[in-house]
Amino acid sequence: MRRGSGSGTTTRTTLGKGKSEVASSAFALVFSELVQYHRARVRDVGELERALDEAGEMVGRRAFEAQAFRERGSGKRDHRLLPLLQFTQSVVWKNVFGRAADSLEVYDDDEYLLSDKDLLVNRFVSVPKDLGDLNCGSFAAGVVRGILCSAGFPAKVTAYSSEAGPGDESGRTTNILMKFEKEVIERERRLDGK
Amino acid sequence: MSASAALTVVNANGRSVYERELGSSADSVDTDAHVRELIGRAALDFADARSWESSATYLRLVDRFNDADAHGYRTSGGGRFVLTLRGRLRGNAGDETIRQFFTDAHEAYAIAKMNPMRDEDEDLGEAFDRAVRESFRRRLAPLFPFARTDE
Repeated sequence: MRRGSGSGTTTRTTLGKGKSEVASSAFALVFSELVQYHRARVRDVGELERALDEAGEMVGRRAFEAQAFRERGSGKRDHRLLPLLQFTQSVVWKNVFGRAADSLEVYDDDEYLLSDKDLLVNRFVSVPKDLGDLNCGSFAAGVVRGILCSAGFPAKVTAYSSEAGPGDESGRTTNILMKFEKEVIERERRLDGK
Repeated sequence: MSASAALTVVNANGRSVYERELGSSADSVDTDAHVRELIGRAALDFADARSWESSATYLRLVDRFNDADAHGYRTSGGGRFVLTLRGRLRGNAGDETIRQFFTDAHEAYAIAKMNPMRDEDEDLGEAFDRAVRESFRRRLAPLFPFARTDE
């Protein structure tokens, strides 16, 4: 039995394009509040980085699902590592941080490195002495971990800064190091061997 | 003559975030929730194994349980859908119809996931339920003999 058509509106919200731009100053303000909020509640730098990391993870898990649907459509997903990393470096980075990350390198069998010469979350941050070696890039590391783990490629993800090379005017380069669990590497090898 | 359908959604953490009967024919016995859960969960293992064979989101028929067919689907972010169809349907629930249903569910799932007020392990909510039921009504309900499609 079908209900009459007047049974209330079926508000069918669609995902939409989601490409609206946000002023970087607005983002910087919100991020600054996030950092200050946690800074007042943690005991040391490690905890602060972990708090930022967790915040990033929640963003990564959510944004990835929506972005993947928008860009890939509903028929395909990444079931191999390299395409997933490339998707993260280009599409997700652009959507979350405003531009694609600068490079993606492989270190070992199980270690990959994503680099950004001017990471948005570090752009307006200058770390005071009492916070030592705090790196707000741990927010980005959390975003990446959220993506990798939810997609089925569990990994440990950390962020560290490196000085710019000679001839490079940008200040700090933020590097996101991903170390994958054994099961991921084994599965990749198995799928390669096919 | 009895037939029924149920959708189970399991998130990347392995938690069941949606589990409902979607449609049934007028004379079908109300399927118990725990039987639906059993079928859904068993099919999940097969769906997971199938996930790494290709880059497709639609995993097609993944398991059979007596007279119930379980179809699987996996999203980029690790969400897994299992649609069980049991009993005698009018005609064939073709792959294409089920794929379209899963596509609608996938979009609704991505929207539900974006909600910052909702924890990842919580139920997907009413908007998802409405979207799924509407898609079911449009695409799959025509296959049910004398269908009751929603409450």
